[in-house]
Amino acid sequence: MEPRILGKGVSKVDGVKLVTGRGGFTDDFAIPGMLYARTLPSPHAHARILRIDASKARALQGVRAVLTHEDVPRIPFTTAGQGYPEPSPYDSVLLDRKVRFVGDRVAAVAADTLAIAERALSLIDVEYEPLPALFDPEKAMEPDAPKVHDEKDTTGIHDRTRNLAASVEAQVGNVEQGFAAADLILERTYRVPHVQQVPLEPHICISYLDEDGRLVIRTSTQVPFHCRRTVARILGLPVGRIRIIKPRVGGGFGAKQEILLEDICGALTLAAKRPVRLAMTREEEFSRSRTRHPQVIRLKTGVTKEGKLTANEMTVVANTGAYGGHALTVQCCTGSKPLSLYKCPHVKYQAHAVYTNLAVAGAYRGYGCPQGYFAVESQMDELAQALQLDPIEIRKRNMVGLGDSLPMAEVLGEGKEGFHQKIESCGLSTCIEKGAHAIGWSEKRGKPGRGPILRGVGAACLMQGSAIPGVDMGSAYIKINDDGSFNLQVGATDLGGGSDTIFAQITAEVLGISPEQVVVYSSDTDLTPFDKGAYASSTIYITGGAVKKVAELIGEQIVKVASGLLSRNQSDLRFNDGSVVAPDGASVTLAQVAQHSFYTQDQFQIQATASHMSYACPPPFAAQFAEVEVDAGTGLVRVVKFVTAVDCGKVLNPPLAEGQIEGAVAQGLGYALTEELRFDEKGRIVNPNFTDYKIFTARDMPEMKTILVETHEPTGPFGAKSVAEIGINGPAPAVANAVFDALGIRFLELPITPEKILKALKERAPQEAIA
Amino acid sequence: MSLEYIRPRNVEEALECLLSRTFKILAGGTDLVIQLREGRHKDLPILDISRLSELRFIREKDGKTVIGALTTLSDLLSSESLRRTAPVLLAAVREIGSVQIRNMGTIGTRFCQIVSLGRKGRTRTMPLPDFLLGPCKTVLESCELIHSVSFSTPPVYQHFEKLGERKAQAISIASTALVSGFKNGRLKGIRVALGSVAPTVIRAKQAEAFLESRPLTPDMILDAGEMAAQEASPISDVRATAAYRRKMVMAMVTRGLWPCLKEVGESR
Repeated sequence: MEPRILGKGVSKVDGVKLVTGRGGFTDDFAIPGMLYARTLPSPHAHARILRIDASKARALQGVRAVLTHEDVPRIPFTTAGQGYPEPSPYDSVLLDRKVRFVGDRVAAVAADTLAIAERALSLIDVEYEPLPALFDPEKAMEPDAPKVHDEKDTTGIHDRTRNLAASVEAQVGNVEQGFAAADLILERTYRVPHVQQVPLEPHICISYLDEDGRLVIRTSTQVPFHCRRTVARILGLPVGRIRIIKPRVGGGFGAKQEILLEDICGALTLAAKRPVRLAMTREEEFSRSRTRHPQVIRLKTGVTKEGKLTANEMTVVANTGAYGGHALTVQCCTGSKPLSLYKCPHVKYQAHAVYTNLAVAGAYRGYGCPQGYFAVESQMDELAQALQLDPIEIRKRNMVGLGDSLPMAEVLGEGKEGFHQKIESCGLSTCIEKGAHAIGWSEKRGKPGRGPILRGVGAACLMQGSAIPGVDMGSAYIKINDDGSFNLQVGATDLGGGSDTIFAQITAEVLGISPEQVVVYSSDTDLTPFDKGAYASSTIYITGGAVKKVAELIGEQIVKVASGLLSRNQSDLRFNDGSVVAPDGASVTLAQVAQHSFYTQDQFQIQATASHMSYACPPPFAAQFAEVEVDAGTGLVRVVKFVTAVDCGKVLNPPLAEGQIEGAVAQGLGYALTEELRFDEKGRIVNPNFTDYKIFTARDMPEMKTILVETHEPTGPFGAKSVAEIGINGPAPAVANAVFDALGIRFLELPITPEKILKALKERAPQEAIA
Repeated sequence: MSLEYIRPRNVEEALECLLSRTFKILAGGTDLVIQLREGRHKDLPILDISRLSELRFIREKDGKTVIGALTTLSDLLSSESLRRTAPVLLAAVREIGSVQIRNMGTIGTRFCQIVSLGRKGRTRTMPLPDFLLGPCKTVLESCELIHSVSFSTPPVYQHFEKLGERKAQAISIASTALVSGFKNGRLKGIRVALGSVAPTVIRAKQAEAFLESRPLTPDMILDAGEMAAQEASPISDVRATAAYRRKMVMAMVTRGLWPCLKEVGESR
């Protein structure tokens, strides 16, 4: 049957309150008696704290609590909000005797006002013993390098003597054999920088003790349940004594899949017995939130003269910074997804995630894939050029399709070995065809023109996953109300992407009502059932599956009651527009069913709960195309047009799906051209602000076209797959390939800045550098 | 945090205040408010002159334009007469900050040739280069206010280009403004101004003199670009290296001059 509500542009359930400024964000609530907290950042990249004296800060009027490492127990944990046991090393403690990057947390203060808290920080006297700092991951692996983590109580670090937070190695087939069979072997080294998620709402939380003395934390998080478990461990409280509430969130993009504030804020509340608010400034968001892992990627590819891949070998050295949250799993994904897109009999992947004394890397939309695809998709173009093939043609000759398995995903998994994956829906060739048409591929390719402005088009193909197979679980609860409306409670975490809206649509679809009849309440560890949280492109695929199941269970209960009221067979009854209808036209409204069940006979609450998980991880597919103009005089690249054609299975809400793609493209274009955290010789970030760290603004954005190529994924709710991350993977290689089309110069390092372009133009032909 | 704040009713009163003690002056606030948030000027009282409408005007008389110091950047952009006489100024103004910043920000010290300064009982007028001493440094004394900026109607050919790391709200890496007239195959009254490549905005005077010295040719344009690049004294910072800035002067000056070849031809 054709869906009534799914596939339509239903307005966001939280839209009105957001656009009318009624908000509902963490900072929209102040609690009487609330204190303001600040944390003291380390001025050193690497140092031992020899002495710390907070007595002057404690004596300051208006200061209610001061914490240093001398005041708190030492319990190692990971800041990464992942399923338990987390595949990340326990290398962090609440407050440490040692600092490992500029901005690392040294002490925390809660005071009556923010100004008093700031003043108190300046009164904390710390004597540091500076230690030699490590900035280059390749040097950090050398045996005589200083050790970032030399404490004995940490666990899960792959090899602390070589500063290896994590290492992974996997092989399918035998690459030596594959290279022997190749007609052409290409080997390149790619470099990608530190970039930041820059959610418009910085990290913030407010914690307080409720009437029963339980610790309540309202926080802008992607992972309320992982946050509760981790904070319980750090503060030595039972999980049941903590409640995490996630209000509206102003973007996370992975930066909020971390426990960065809740632990110390909660500790201050316990110390002061008062509500405490702790928020990051924008500068802190840059310096001590999280970044995408910078990587050096060596990629060696063997190919036959017909353009068939024979072997692929990728070696990654990633800079995880001072801590190792997500170090293993991000590096797994760099290999498992980009190296699975093309069929290749022999594939080898090896990665080291290395500790240094720079900003900490973690989860960022794409999760290792933007790095890997920049290498793989640049390399495919270069192979095409060497073989004199159209870049699209070489991709078509190698790409995976329906019925293919993904052996690299199986051997690499995500933190532990994965599960067998077989592609059951794939619209990639349609994506390529429609996207190429929309960009004008055949008319524009290979025609840079003359004069100072040169033009080019470039393409990239991509896939991602939908949730972590065999790990992620989400659940949902529904009950009926007197008027035939429903409460839907989910632990899932809407970060602004619109999952609450889609859950209302799914419920409405199953029960024959309008989405307004569904009251969605999400992300409260006391009131909603468990959910893994919002990451790994999992929310619609996993939690959406749970919502569909629970709505169907509710439907069965309603039909049973209605069947008694109507004296008709259950199997004949259908939902239609708020009623249950029999084939002969007899009907009863959902309100009548609800009232009957509450008040009349065999009274009970129509209610149900359901959980969902999956061993399948169906990849969405996409083809992205960039058209650029390169100014050979200034080196500036202007992206004129950007096309994404994406197969995310059945599209449940087209505007929300397009929004996910467009937001991801904006971030991906910054990665390609303008974004880079830069550090000085002491490891301090020199551009921790929006003036000097350049994200794409509305005026910089190209003409955007997003094409939704629908397929039906049999394992997904109503045929849906994920769409949240895939769009960020392609802009960098598509732009790099377009710049190559314009200039004939290949850039192996991001971002592709005007200075790099001018330098390359000059090296090629000095007289051409001036327009 | 407490703040002492005075809002005088007129210019007279403002100058009176300035004679008595040192203030930080709030005109549009687009710089000052940021500095206050950074914790600077903690001990200085604020003199808010933003509502002194006497200093907010655009007048055109006898080939001369006078702009009051408190005229906002958005005021300039909606001025019919400036659109006619000085599009180069508007092209530059359009690149400053965002709409919100242009609504608040004032012309103040920002552009133009001649600056009039007033102190109680006396005004002085000087060319812009004498007014600017270095980055964020001017000859303005603590008892003075900027009254207005003025300039003669520039010649017909006007060109402005700014290079930033992105299109909107980007501090410039380098910028160039060019104006020129044409006579008998030559450039006449050429002015080449360079921004963000020296401690203050500068004019490339050698390039200007060279360009006027003989009839314009393509080779001269390249040489003039080279000269202007040498006249700049850029630094390296988080936005760009000095070498790149110098190259940009070359690229932008030559690019601004190319259209002159055609115009010059027509003036023969």
